[in-house]
Amino acid sequence: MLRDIIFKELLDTISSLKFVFTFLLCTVLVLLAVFTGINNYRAELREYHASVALNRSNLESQPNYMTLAGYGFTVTKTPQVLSTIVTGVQNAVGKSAKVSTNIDPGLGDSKYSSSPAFAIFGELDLTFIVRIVLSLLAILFTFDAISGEKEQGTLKLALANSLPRDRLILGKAIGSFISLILPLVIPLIIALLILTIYPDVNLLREDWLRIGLIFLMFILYISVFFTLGLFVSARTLRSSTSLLVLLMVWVTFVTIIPKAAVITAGVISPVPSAQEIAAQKDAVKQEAYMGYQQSLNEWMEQNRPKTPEEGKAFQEKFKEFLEQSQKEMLAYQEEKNATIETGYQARKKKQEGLAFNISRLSPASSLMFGAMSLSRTGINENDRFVQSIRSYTSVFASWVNVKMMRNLKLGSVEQVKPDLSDMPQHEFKPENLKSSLVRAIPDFTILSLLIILFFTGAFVSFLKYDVR
Amino acid sequence: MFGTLVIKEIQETIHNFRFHFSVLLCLVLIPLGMYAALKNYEQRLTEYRESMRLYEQKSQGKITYNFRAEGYRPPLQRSVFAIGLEDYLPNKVLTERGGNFAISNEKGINNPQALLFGRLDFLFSAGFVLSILALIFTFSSISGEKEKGTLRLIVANSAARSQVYLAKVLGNFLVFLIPLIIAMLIGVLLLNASSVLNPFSGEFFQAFIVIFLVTLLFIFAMLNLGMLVSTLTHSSITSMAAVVFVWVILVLAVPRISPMIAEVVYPVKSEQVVNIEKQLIRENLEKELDLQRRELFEKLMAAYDLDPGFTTTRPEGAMKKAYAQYDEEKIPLEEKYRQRLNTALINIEREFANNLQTQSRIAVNLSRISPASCYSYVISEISGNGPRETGNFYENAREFQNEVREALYDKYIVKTYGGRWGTSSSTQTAEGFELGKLKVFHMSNYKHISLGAALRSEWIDILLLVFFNILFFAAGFVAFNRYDVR
Amino acid sequence: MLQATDLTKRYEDGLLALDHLNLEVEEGEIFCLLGANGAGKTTAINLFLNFIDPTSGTPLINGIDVTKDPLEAKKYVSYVSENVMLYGNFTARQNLDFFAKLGGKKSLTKEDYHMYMRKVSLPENSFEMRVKNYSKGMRQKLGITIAIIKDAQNILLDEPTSGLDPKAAAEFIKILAGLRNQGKAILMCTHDIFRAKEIADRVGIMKEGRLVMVRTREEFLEDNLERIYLEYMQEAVA
Repeated sequence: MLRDIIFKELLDTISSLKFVFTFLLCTVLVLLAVFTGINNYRAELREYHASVALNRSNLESQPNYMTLAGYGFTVTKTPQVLSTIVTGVQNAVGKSAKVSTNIDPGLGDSKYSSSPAFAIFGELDLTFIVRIVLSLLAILFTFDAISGEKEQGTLKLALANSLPRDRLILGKAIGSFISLILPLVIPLIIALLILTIYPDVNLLREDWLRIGLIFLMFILYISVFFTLGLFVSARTLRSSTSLLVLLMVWVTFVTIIPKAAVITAGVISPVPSAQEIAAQKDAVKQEAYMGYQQSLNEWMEQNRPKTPEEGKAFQEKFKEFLEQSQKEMLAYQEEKNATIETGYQARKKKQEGLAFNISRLSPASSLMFGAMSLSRTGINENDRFVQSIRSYTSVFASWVNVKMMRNLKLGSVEQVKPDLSDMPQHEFKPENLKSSLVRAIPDFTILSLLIILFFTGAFVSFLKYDVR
Repeated sequence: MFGTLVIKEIQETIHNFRFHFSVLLCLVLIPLGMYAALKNYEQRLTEYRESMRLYEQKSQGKITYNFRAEGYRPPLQRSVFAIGLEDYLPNKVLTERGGNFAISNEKGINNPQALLFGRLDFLFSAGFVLSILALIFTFSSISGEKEKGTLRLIVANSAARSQVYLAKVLGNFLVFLIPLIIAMLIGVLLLNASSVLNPFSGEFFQAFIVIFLVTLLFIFAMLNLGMLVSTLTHSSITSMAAVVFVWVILVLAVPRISPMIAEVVYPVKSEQVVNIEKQLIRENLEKELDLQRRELFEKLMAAYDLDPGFTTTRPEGAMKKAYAQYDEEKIPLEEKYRQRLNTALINIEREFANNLQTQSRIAVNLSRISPASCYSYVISEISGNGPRETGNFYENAREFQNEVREALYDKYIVKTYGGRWGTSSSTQTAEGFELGKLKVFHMSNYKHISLGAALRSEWIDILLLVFFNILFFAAGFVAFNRYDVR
Repeated sequence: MLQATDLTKRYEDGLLALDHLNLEVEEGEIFCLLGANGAGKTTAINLFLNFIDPTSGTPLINGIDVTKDPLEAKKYVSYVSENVMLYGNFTARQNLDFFAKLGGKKSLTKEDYHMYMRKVSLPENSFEMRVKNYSKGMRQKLGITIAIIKDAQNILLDEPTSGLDPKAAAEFIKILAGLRNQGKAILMCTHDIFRAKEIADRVGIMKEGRLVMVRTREEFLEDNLERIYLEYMQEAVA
């Protein structure tokens, strides 16, 4: 009997117009999203290689260590292959960072800064399609699951038989779920196939695991709205009421709450502006420089050569002294800056965490966060990259200062071309699967709990539903 | 007859469940949107003032011939309607002696979580939520009445179909107006409570009225669209599904797909690549210039029979003459190189800007299929943070650079010659110029795009909104005349 | 056999929809329940089908208490509701197939369904037509076909002839008579006095939740049923 109900539900939905429309819409949107995701990724990859090459030639063309230190060079983030599915914050935060002794590291060159047309409306990646469109479609499939059959009169016809209510709702749930999943999963599979075809898109085993997890999250998310639809349908007597309620819930939870959560977090847990922090660091720099100047003057007073013979020895001592005091100045700056930075980062993390947790009231946020964690395109990965730049900058700064001082040729015009063979390289290890998964666990849990909650609600409500 | 029809439509709608929901949503979301954007504006204002203060503090008394003045873009009051591109627009300009002022977005991306979901502002409330509300209001206007059986009753009287349709449109519009007006009044009162903004003053109030009217135009178009869908379907469930699909496509899909299509159709190099190219050219040319200057210097020193390896800042005799000649001959050389650099840079920048512009224009034009896009563009431009603001900022930045150049840079003549450390320089000031008298430069005359200019530049979107209204109304009208009421 | 013993239903707001109904429908009998709208006829059916619970009293189907073992009881009853919409996207046969399976008849073939539809005089070309294109009469016939296929011993009908043209109504009544002759116990709620007179073995009049009168066929043929009915109706109004 259960099987009969499932089949009937499947058949009923598939032969309806809304199924056809849904299938069409899903296929078009999903394929479009993946196609553009792939294109973007490949373009990013091309640009990445181009800027790496340009950067290399830029480095090699620096005339001396001073310009190398001052102008610095650019480190570009390696594009994430899973950004084909989840754009995350990539386009907003920028993809390259300037490394030099003068600049506080930060990301720049974001896509949105240069192409405002994208920034106005936002991105159309696969996650957006799932988050906004597919959740609406799930609602469209289930809003009249119970109330519609009651209005049709078929509910009481069915229950006039020896059919237990729990079997009826179970059968309907399974049947509609399959008929909902079909138009969603088939384009997703096609999308995956497309991903494998493209030559530039290299998916390692770990990437496939991540994709699998992301797709699992997609299905969980859609199921949340599916069970919600069942639940509301089992609590209302008219389909039009059910649909309105569901639409309002959808608007509130999918669009409004995530935005409001961020604002609330900003009010509850404010963070000093970037200018303030920059100004603080600037002040530290001034302080350090003044101290350096002072000690330089003092030393010069004491050690000024009085005869031409002392001249040569003087140069050597001078170079040593310079190297030493530069190191001290840098160390001083770093220490102070580190304190400022950790304090700032801590407050940012707090606000961020608060924003995340409040917005997790909405399953749409859980989806975003989970998907971003798994695809390594989220804020966390971004922070890790900036942090790596920061630590690399200090490594680079000390290296270049040592070189600068060693190669100082006082009194001659000669330029010493920098020897890049022993320059420390920037390395960045993207987050491993286990860490990403651990971070995504709360989101998986929330979605699963919601599904259980709504389905139980639907189940219990249906047992007492007035079928007349 | 017409009056009766309108009144019945109004009464029926008011007693409907949807009306209560819509009122609730309107009254909550519109003021909320304005409030959130107001807070955002206040924060930007604070940051702006803070930046200026810090800049003033660190620059006071430290102005030299090389001084890089900082100009900051002041927040615009009108931006409480739409936050638009505020997060991505450049807002700081650094002047430079050589003429290459630098533009940056100084605050950077401070809290990316805010950007994940988009901002909450009036534009979101009206463009996103009100649009679906409007569709919900009217989707079953015709098909629902057919289902209930009341449609044939009405048409069985001597009421012309055109009257019936018009009455429905008008009735729905009037009812929708009530919560909208109340909500906007609440919003204005919220704005009034803020200390940094007086919503009833001059340009702001004008902008408010204009935005209200444009919103009406947009909502009216969506109401008509809902009616149109209703006349094309025969059961309210079908209408509902159709309306959801239509909304997804028009409000969500079309605006986002257009830039992507534009990118595929007309790809453009990224800014990063362009910057690196510019930097390379600059450094290459500078190296060349340096080489040339060194050669010149050595040639002259040789001509005067002097040792080029020895330089001093206090030349005497033959050396003095050599230096003087060097300074003279150097100038046309430098000038030539500066021109080459400028031309090359300008060409790259212009090409890049043009390409971006074209791509952007393609995207915008594609997206104009949707009235929601048109509406967004109008509101963003009026709020002073649409795509045109980038160009506007460049203009202002250029002006600022010129101001500083006239007041400071041009007053100094810098001489450089090859020397021990590479190049050294000395400076000479112009007649009658006193550095000490200079105050720190601020970009105090920033010209935002005025309300009038914004409207003029958005004429096409406004026209399109009117056109959509006519299109949807006419189509629905015609469809209803042939509608099967049985 | 259908049996109601002291069946009472009072709603939370105090409305007494059914007041100690005592009723028995034997095998091979058609019992027509007459009454004004809201008199309690549909409530009685709903109680037999376990759509609502009685405040007191017992509905029994073939001796099985519906409130205690509804699933078992419902094996022995078929239901034809008023205003049958069915699954519009399905064809007639697909609708029959689904409800047949629910009713326990799992292995019927296409031909079997066609035969059933022929028996109720549905036109041949409508067998594979989508039900949303059916007229009201056709849908009612389909409704009774569902009951016929289930072949349960008891049949409950709620206003089956409302909105049918005389010919369709007559055909319907003929089918019912055939089912009665097969030995089914049939309880039919209706306003249609004409058909009731034609087909009923016994008639009951309900007024404000109470069964106020029961007459056998001989009795009400002798009396003027219309007059009695209208009298009771008028009293209800007054």
